[in-house]
Amino acid sequence: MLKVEDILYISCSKMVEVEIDIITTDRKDRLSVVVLKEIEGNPKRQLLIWIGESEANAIDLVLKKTYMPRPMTHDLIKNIVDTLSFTVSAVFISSVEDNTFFAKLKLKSDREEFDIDSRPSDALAIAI
Amino acid sequence: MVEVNIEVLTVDPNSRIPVVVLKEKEGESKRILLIWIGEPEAWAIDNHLKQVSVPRPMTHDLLKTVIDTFSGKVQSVCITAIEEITFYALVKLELNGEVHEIDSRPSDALALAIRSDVPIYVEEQVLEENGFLEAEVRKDKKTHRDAKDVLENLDDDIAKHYTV
Repeated sequence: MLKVEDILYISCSKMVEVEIDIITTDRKDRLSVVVLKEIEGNPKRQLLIWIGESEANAIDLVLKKTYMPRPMTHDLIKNIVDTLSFTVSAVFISSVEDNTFFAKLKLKSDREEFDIDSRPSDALAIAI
Repeated sequence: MVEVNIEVLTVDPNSRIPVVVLKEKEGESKRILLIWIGEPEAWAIDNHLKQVSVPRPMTHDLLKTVIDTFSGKVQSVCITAIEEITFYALVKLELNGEVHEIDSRPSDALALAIRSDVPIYVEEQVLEENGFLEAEVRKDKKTHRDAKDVLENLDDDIAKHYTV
């Protein structure tokens, strides 16, 4: 069971690297959930984030390496970032307020770095 | 290239798929082009057209923010080709005096165009081959059956058709 302290810990200045463990559906309310898991450490903590259906699909398509004939919205964002010679250097889930998760998308070029406010689902879909 | 407006966002009564109705901006007999799009993109267009405020940035808002962050400027979007049932579009993006054309689905391009307040174009050939006049649809039942059904059952209340 995840405690509030854990979430805050993840969101604090000390950042913890996680990976997408699985994307699944909450059986009770049928919402999509992405399960994040700590990469290092023992035991590895998990963080559940409930996300929208379309963002869940976007993440699922990439994880399953599904070939899409046309670029999806997150591909378009990635293509624009690439076109402008930037890279997505990291995403981080920065805070949680009243069940709403906040994330930041870190974009980097040779000279500049930007943090862009985002929903975790979009940030994850672009990151992968 | 021909400039068009988003006339309405509706739902195909047969397939229950969202449809964007584009209409020529200038000219006496204005041609119409229908584009069937995905549900998430339909929401992205609908939310913005109806100025629904969302607590967190949606995917297309993020797209706009990314472009703004780079001081990029969307100049226009253009629906460039149709192959079988797939539509192609380009987003014209200016950055540091350089213009980039980025491959996109029409639905994403439209969602971005309305957020950037820029013109929407359709390649003349696309309109010629797939566009039609409203009067034509009413007469010709066979070739424009889907279009006729869509245009006679316009319903911009997409929330009625889908659960959020």
